[in-house]
Amino acid sequence: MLAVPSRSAWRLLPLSLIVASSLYAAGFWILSPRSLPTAEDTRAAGEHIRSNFAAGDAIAVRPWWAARLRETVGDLPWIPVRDLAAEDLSRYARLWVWVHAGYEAELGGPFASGTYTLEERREFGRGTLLRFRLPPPARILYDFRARLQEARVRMFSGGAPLACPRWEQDRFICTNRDWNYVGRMIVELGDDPREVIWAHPADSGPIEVEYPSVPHGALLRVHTGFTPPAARARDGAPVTLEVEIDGRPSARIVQENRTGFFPADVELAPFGSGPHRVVFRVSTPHAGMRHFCFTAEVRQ
Amino acid sequence: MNFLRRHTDGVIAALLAAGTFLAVFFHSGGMGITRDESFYFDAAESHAGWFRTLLRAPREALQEGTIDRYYEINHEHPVLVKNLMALAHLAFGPAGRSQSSGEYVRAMRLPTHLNAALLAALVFLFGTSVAGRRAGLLAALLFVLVPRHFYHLHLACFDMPITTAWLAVVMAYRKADGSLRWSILTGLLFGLALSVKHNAFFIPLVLGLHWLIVKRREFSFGKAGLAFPRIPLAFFAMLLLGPLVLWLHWPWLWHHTFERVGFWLGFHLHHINYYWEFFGRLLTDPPFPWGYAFAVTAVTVPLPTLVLMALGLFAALRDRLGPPLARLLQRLRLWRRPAAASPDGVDLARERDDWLLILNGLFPIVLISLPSVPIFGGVKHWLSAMPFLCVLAARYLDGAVARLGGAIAPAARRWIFAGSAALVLLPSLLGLARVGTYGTSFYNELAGGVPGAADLGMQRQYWSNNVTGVLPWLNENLPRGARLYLHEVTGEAFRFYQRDGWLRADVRMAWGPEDADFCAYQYHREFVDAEYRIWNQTGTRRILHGLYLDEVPVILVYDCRRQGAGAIRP
Repeated sequence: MLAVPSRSAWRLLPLSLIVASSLYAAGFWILSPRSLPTAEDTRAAGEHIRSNFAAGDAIAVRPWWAARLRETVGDLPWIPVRDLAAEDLSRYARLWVWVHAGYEAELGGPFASGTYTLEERREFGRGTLLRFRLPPPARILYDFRARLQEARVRMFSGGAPLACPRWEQDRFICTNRDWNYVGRMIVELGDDPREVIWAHPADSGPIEVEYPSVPHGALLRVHTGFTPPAARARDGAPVTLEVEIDGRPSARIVQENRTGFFPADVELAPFGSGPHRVVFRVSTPHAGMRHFCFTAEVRQ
Repeated sequence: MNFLRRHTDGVIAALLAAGTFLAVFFHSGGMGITRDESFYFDAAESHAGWFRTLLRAPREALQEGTIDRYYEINHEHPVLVKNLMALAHLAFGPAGRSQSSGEYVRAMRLPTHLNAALLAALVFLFGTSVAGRRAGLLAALLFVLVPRHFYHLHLACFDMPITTAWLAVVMAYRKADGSLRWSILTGLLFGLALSVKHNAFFIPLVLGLHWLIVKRREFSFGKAGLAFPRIPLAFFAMLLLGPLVLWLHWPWLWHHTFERVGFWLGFHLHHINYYWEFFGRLLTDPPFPWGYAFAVTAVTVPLPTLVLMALGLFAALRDRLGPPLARLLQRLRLWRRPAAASPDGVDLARERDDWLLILNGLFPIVLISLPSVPIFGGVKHWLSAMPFLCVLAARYLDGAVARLGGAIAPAARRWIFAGSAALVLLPSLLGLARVGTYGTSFYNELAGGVPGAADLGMQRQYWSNNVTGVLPWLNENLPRGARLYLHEVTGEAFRFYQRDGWLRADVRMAWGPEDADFCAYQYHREFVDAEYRIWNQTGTRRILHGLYLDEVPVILVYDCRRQGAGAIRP
């Protein structure tokens, strides 16, 4: 039979709560640092990655914010995203993941289901280094961002084309306005940094990025998105990305005013064997704060 | 011995003040210069020029042109603290613009370090008068040892001085009932509060509300018309002396007074919201969530202190609202038990103190929670609530031990109180030791510390002073004459770091990654593009060095010289 606590027992309750919360809190500060990998642990893990790194490999960390590993291997391909399980890793053959204690459970989805096969597990002090074998990687035949310099860029003003021939470092400069260029950028889309082509449309007319000789493949994968500041603009207009292949319209993607990195696929089979002339045309009814970005690749 | 016995509270207050001053003064050596401090240092130096002129040519000093020359700078804030900084700079700062080894910042912060001492003493004295000596002592320690409070106590800013001034006004008001002397003092202190920061405008509102509540029984409406209690003299003193003290202390108001007061108020009424990361969301536009200030408090005050504050607040609310609520329910026939206390049976002094603690402990937090109030920072905006919440907390613990009953000897109860107080304070001390000088990064055990807060998506830091964590490395490793971009650090702070010997004098300041040889990026959710610009420019994500708090990256140093634009993807 349950006994009803006496009145004096109830009086002890607040004090017990205070003592319990104090003990928990003190324990937290004493114990929690002991679960963290040391700088030396992280460096050793990085050196192991470097000495075993192969083409087609990439690196990620859990928790997403951990950065110290980049002191050792920050120059190697990196997947700096928050939701690793949802990320498209089809470019890569293997993935190294440096995991702090308590964060391995975050690796759900294909990591947990076995789609990504765990090949190596190695403890470095209080951190764990995992290496996953990914499904056979997609063959990228043409990366439009990497080959941007091969493109012809022009913008339209009053219907008349205006070439943007000046290439500076990583971009084609169209006008003196500091946003008016087409260039390789890393920007925040959604919550993550993305390697994209910056193509801020103008009010005067569309911007065209033309690639004269693109090899044929099975699929053209396009990603589009707005940066968070652009998506916060209350009157932000949608931006339309039209894709033209060999003079024929092949896709019309309307990017609504929200941030993210949104994929779209175009089948290339109907366009013959190539090489193709591919034009990306970016336009909007109102160009204010249209920090629009896209990226594209031809896959086999 | 007799002196000590007669002035025990004074002696304890003095010891607390001295201890707090020494702790803050010596700990300040590693505390970087916040963005706001850098502007105030500049302003104080300018004001110092006015004091020099006042000594040399008093008539010239009073002329509009002279005043404007020295006081035009940073005129969006009153100048009491900045004037004190100016005087400290004149008295203790390095001569001219010569390089020094810490004297410049030490002198500028001296007035606020003295304020820290005063505040600790006042919390003790207030707590003692409301709840007894041991509760007062615990309240002061609870307040000072909250890591975010300890951090703010160091800074030459206005947030802790306004906390002191707010508390001082309330303490004087508490004693002013029927006393002309204390009423005048209340008015003068209110003037000083106005001279520290505009938060002081809300003090009369809180005190007015307090008066309405505690004097509610004296209001009546009958055949003779409306009868209401005597309006406290202190209110008239505040009305008359407050603006006068404000005007007197601020030379910039001596000419075009109304126009300039209008500017000052307008600046704060139309202040922009700063971006703020809050549970994974980047808050950019008002209205901010109403629970913002409560939630940030819940994850930044050490858990045992927080629990005590909540228990103390709820107990006081229960004591004050419980009986009237019971009477109301009785009248509505929803409650059968007799109400706990009749109006005659109320301990009026206790009721008065309860409402002082409740209103002052809640008002600053509720105020910042209003959707129309701009939010431009963290806990510093409601620090003035904290002394009152700490007194409530300490009083609750004292009461909880007392409620253990007569079965335990008084001496044993004293030991139980001391033991539980020490236990409550221990996590604050441990947290403080863990976070060091990087106070804006502190999160409590509920949040999971700094890593937990990073997981939750909370603001990782603000005010840029954490950069001191990488300055020694930069001094050691930067080539001579290197151009350095210190993200978020103001040009003034960069200059002060060099002037005070924190940063090598040959290092040149760069305004962005594009102009820099080396970059020190501070993680801010709203400024992540600054880091991506570095990646974009250098073609690598490789870090040279970093400041990590429990492995959470806070400051990251990059070599910005590499030009591999867009070459990141293999």
